[in-house]
Amino acid sequence: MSLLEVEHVGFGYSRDRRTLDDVSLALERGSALGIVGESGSGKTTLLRLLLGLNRPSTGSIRFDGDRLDAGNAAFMRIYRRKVQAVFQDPYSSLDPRQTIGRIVSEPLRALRIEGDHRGIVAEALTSVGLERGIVERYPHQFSGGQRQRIAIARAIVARPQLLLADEAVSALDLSTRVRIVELFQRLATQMTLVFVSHDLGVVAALCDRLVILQQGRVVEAGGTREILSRPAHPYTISLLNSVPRMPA
Amino acid sequence: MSLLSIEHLTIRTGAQPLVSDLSLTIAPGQRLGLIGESGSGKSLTALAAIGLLPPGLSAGGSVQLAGHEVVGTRDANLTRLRGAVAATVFQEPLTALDPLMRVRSQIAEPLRRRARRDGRRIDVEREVVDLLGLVAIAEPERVARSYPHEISGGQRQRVAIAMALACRPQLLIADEPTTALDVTTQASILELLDRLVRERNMALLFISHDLPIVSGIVDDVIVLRRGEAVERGAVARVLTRPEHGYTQALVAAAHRFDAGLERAP
Amino acid sequence: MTALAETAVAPARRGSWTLWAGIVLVGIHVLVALLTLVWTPYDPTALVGHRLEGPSLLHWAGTDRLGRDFFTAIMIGSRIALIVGIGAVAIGAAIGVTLGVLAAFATRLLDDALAAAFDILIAFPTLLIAMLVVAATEASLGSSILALGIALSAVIARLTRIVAKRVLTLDFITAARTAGASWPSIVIEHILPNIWPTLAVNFALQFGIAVIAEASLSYLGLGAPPPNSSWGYLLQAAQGTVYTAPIAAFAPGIALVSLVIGVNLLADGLRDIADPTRRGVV
Repeated sequence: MSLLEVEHVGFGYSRDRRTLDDVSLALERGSALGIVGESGSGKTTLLRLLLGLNRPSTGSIRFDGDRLDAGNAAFMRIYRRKVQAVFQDPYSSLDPRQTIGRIVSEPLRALRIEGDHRGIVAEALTSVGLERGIVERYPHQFSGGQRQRIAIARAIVARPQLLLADEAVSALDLSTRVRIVELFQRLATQMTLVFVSHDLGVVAALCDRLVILQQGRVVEAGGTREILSRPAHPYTISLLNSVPRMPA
Repeated sequence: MSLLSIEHLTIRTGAQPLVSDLSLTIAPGQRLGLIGESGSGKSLTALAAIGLLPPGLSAGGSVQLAGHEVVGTRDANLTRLRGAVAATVFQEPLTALDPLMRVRSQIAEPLRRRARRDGRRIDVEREVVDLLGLVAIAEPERVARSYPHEISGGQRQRVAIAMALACRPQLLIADEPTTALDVTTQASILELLDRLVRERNMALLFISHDLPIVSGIVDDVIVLRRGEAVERGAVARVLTRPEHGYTQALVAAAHRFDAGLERAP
Repeated sequence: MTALAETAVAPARRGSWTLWAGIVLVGIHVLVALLTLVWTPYDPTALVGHRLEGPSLLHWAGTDRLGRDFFTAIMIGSRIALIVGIGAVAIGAAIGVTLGVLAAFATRLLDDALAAAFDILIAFPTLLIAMLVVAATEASLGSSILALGIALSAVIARLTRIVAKRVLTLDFITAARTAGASWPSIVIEHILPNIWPTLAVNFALQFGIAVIAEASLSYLGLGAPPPNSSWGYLLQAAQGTVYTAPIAAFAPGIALVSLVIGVNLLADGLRDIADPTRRGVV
């Protein structure tokens, strides 16, 4: 049984323009799936549905066989322990008025996880390459790459089974991007990963399977290497052709 | 005489240098790229070139636009240089355009100024539409009537380019012009810039953190790191046989993401 | 042709004199107010001198038309003003912040309705609303404070709604929801601390408005009667004697202005300090 099953999901505000239209995909345990799309593709909406922040208009989402019921508080509390997220903008995803310690421990407090919170937070910080001593400091004292590591530490502190990343490296410099992608590669060995991005180069480095979204629809899906070396859909081909390449 | 001549430029905030001892020249028709990550000082250099450094910073050294000194010059004297010698396209089209003015009014402004300077009379409406056609906007009349939020990001950037070209500058400074755009839109904007610069024999200063993009549009490149130029040369050489350690790391990083895109023969 | 000298583009940074000036001005009033709790030069209700005496060594500000010491009355005015300002802002904040936060979460229709309601209330002059409330009850310090608190709540509610909505769009709110936080805990942990700097400055402005509005109420005879007389009452009492005993008119006015300016300076200074991103960073 797949870890995540999205079945004919639709979402939209008006009849003639649906943000998502008949989207289906399956995510196997332990894999890393890339959802590729540009603006208007519906990738952000799909991510919000997977996080239970919105409810699909049609279709269903199943996690581990159970239907995702965003309105059921008890269900969501259990779901949130298993599914966590990292967002795009390292400058707005951390509360500027809270210390790093409080930020990273928020899932532990909100989900009422027992144990030595301080120790768990310290472990999460070191596993993303940061020092445990930073817990008393504030976000503005850190660079974009460091903030993103803090956000990742927050996402993994409750040991989720599934990690969703929304353009998590798009706002980072090239050299920082490489290091954060390496971090995600390491995390991908411990948990299942869904990586939403417009950047084909990044998903190529990180994901073994891809889903290509265009204007709310899945236009191509399959193994990363197959799609990138022999793209079938015209949109995928134009995407690949548009990416500027390094000189040989 | 070079269009832009920067000598030993140093920009500080308080005691902290943001740009240190930077020198470069751009001759008419030359295309130069500035590669750098955040904090490299690349955008500040672009602002210094046209005298638009934000308050709180101090600049030392010399920046000359077509022989006229920019550093320390009063803003009133600089307005004649901007537009006539150099025009700029910035990264974020949504904030570069006035949200309360229709597109045609925003393009008309630099057009009229240039016409006044040349002493010509122009039919503003027609020139606006012509200019929009030049930047490959479909339905130029409709776009001209629109407000910035009513058109797409790619179209907004084309409008920004049109505004820059309306001044008939000799040097176009483009600071991350495609970073905020989709990949497919990005490719067409880059192709547009390349064609326009070639057709009008303009010089180009192209600033970006994206190595593959820079390699496709300029001839020479300077790599900036924390305000210092660490390497310079022909772009093909710098990106295939980098000499400085920092450049080598950047090139290696770019290759990491480039490698996955290799197609089957 | 090189410009070798470093050219400053423009200076930045306001000094911290605002904070200190504010502390001094407000501090004086606070000390005076505290002092009046245990001691005043004379009993405020006692007739201790001739009527309408000018300033003298015995009576620094002279006496009023009944012979009561004027300086004592001014000192007590500090206490009254602080009580009114703090009380009115506290009530206004309690009502306004609550309504504003609720409005920020409301669905489109309800939100529009609430926003319109706030704006309509704000269109009424503060004084008018206060007068209406006082007329419905009896004139006393408590009714003045309640009346002003209600009048201020609309402005506070509108501001709270706007800044709370802005914070709600930020990613760390989404991150908190994803982390499993409930909406009440998000409001307390994330929204209130992030809107506080903006609100604090507004509270200071409202403090000044409340003090001045109360002075107007008292001037019109609708405020608290003696011995809880505020500066407004003293100003009204000084009307007839402004040429013969001018200090009776100037002193309460100066006291009023100094307190309001002091609170505004203090709020500006405190806001700059409270923001962690401004600490020691250019």
